[in-house]
Amino acid sequence: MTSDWDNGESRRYPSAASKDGHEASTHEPEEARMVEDTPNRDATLLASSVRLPEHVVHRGFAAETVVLNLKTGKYHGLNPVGGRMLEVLEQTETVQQAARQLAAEYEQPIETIEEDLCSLCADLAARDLIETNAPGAD
Amino acid sequence: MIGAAQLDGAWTGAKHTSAGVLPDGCRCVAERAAGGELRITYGDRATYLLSADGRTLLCSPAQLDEQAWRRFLLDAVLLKASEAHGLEALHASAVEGPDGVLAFATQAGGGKSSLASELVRRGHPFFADDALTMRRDDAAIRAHPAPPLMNFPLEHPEGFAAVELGTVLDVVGAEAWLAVRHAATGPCRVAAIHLLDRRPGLRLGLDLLAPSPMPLLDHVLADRGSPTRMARRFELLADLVEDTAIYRLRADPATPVRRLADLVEGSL
Repeated sequence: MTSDWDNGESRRYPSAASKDGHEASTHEPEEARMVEDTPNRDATLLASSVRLPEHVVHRGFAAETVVLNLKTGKYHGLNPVGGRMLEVLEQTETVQQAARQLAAEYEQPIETIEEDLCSLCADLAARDLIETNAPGAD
Repeated sequence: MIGAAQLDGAWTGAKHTSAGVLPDGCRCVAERAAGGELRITYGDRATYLLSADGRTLLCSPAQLDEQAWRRFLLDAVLLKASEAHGLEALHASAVEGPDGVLAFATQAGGGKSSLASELVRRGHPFFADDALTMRRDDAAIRAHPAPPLMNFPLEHPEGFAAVELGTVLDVVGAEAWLAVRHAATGPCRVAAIHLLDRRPGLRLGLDLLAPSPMPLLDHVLADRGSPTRMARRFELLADLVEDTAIYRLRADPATPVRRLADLVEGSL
């Protein structure tokens, strides 16, 4: 399993003035690394909770999950693995709990899943699609 | 219908302005007031003022007996009125099939009107020429028929004449503006949306796409709107694709339109 969650589609509505609404995804999957302290396996992030802000709506379909940022008007497509990760992140209290559940579901090493989840969270947060709350931050 | 001076008097001033040149060479300026009113200037031919709620439309044509201002009113201005009434629109032509609307979307000049006109000629009621409007009526999403008017190429690729479909109201450049004889009369579910992909070397074929609003986004005719409006549009598109077949209709540009129509009819 890799962090290949992004369908590479990130779009906004064409406006009346311009129909050119494409914006290329910048996400590049990285090789999974089994090292404890990598930027993609952040201990603080693993202990954090994740929530979708009010300005984000999403819907899961058979082949992808579509996420709309109401602040930017941009649509984002997640492949089924990314969509499932987002669903579990919403249902669990911490990223680490989500990783445990997903590791069991996909029968993958927990370290690999943690790395993928941290990578996904970083990308979603950079697009203002999720908010992460570190323990004790409230 | 009012005079230009009266319309100017009713205008409260622009907050946002956008402008462009239309295929007929006329410059179109759309101005949005702080209160949501929309003033549209169609060259020196006409000015229109649409109230924020879409219930009042003032028209001020320069020449009352000209067809051009009526054509622009029915093709473009009414679309803005339907948007104000909460309808969403896809840049698509459409006909009515046995199980609902069959829509055809592509970029401008991609042949959607030619395909729709071929299907109208075969007996399918005309539904829309350039914009398919939809809204949620009760629990279901329904498309609403456009005025029975279409722009028809004088040199149609299949060689049939405009008068086979209806009455020519006007001729603008290489197109006839046509009142279509056989048209749908009421709202209808959308059975299928065909995304036309016509590029050299493509083999004629119809591919059923996995349900997702993503392939439709390039064909949505709308300004972004408020977050509430965007969320409502998202829900409508998401529900639409759950109940509508989305096809990629691929063909080489040299493939005759009748063969595309055969394929569409064969899928019904």
